[in-house]
Amino acid sequence: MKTLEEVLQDWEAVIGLEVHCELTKLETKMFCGCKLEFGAPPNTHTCPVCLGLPGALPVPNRAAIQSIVLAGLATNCDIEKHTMFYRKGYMYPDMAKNFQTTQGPKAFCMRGHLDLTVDGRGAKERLFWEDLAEGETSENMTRTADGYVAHVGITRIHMEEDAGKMVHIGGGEGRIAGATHSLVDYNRAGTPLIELVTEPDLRTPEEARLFMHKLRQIFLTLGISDCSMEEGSLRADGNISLRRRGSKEFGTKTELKNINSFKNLHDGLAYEICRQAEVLEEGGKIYQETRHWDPSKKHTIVMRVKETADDYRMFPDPDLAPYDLSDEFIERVRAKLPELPDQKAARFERDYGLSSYDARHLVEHRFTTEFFEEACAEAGDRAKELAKPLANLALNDISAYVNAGEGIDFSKTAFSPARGVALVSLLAEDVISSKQAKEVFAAVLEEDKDPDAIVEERGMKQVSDTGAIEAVIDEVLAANPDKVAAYKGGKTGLIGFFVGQCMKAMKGQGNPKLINELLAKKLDA
Amino acid sequence: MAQHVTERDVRDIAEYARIHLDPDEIVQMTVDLNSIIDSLKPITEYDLEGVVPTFHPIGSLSNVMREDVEVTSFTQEEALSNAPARQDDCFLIPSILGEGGDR
Ligand SMILES: [Zn+2]
Repeated sequence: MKTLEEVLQDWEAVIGLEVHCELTKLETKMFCGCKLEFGAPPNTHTCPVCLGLPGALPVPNRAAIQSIVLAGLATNCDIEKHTMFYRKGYMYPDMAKNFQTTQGPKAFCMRGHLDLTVDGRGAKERLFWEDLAEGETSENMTRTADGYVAHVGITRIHMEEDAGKMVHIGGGEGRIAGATHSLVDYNRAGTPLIELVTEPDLRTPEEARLFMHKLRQIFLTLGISDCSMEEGSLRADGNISLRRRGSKEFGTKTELKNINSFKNLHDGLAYEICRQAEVLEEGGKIYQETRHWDPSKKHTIVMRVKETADDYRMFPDPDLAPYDLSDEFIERVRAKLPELPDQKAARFERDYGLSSYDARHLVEHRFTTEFFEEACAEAGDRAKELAKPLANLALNDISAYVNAGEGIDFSKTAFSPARGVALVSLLAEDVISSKQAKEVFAAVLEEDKDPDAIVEERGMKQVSDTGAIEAVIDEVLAANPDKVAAYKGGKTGLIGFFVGQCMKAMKGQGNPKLINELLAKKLDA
Repeated sequence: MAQHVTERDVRDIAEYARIHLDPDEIVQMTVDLNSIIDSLKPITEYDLEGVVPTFHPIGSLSNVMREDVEVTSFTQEEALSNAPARQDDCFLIPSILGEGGDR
């Protein structure tokens, strides 16, 4: 099979996503007052409504409707005032009603969009963007200095409910294949679920991954879900088709399911693009089917041939009254919109003079955002001056520390934002070198002490006394007359040698910046 | 009586609805469904151009919602009391896919 890069030379991948997000922050289910709880004993949160017993009357959860409107406003959607719920035929035992309550042609949120900034390694997957001039827009992307912005349309976000959980037994490892029986737990049945559908505007697996990441950050900021891909509260399905470069027609698409991490989303899409290219190049045909990504075997397999839309037999649910949302309802929700990641990044740039790269990466994760914001608050008047080193600390040392240990809550470690400010202050005042700062960072986490105390205890203070440094420089220069002559003869690269000798003489505690300056002054005199 | 649906249609509808009908029941159901559709015929005699469809018989009712407050649910025992079979506090059902399963 060809590599993704080879395939994308000849073919354009057309990708759309369907994202399901459970509204886990709510107390109760979508149409009944049963408690929402992950991991409760089986079948302890059910009632006539979510078990689909005859005569039960569903009533929608107001907080769920508020949540979806919030999600729509945060993703630039139009809020559709007149909508209703539909029944979608669903003959599968994890939904006892034999239908799923969802929305019809009109969803609560329609016609939204998100912009993705793609640069660095991520931009490499999209070929030919470098052909555009900076600021130029082609189709759904705009060229930037070092990458591009992808404009991704959102078709709709609709409200629906999740199904229960099934465990298949007798077939080994919970797989359907070969199973003789299934066990059903209806605790999850009726969990409020929003489904976001994008336009087929994505062109690379990396763009799909970035879209999911951005959406997750937005939903987390809104506080509507815990967005756990591992526990299944955030799930993505991808639709993929290929077309020859330059062609405007869409090819036959396949749907990719079982995507429970950002990496699987990227790798599954990349594999499926390469698989389709191979089939098409050998003169084969792509079938409209659902495929399943198996991360351990690194390939996709057919799950089932997709049913046609007619099979769902959608019709308006007679048990649920239609919606006629008022402006007041929508405005009350709008008033609850928190500062979104993009707005936060823009503020970091504006108020603290950060680069757009730093600002964007700071808001990618909650722990970096929170650390940076709290540290800046702690720094008070000096926030602007210390912002850049604080951002570096968050993006380098703290990120590396959190990524190395799975599931660490950084805000609960000994390295508080106040200690962060103390550390970068020591660095800014040349008390310690950046190499020593890394040591102090590790020591604070390990020993739960203030940076100043650690510097004191370990005698790490670098010498910034001009007189003391000059004395050492004079010794070093006197001991190496041949090198001094060579330097004056034009071998200016020898400055590094002199700095090294001075540092050695000072047992690593000399201020390298000052040594450099004073050396240059003496040698160039 | 006009033939709006055929026996073939009725068989398909029954299959969609997962309802088993014997051959003689299919014959009778076809007669019944055609007569039900006939009874709706007067509606087609009105000029309905531009009339918004009525999806709900409940008139002006809209925006019916409840607060996000927990209400006492079934106990586990109540939930499972009508299950034909159970195992590990779950509903025990026959495999949904018979032999083979996903390809
Ligand atoms: Zn319930």
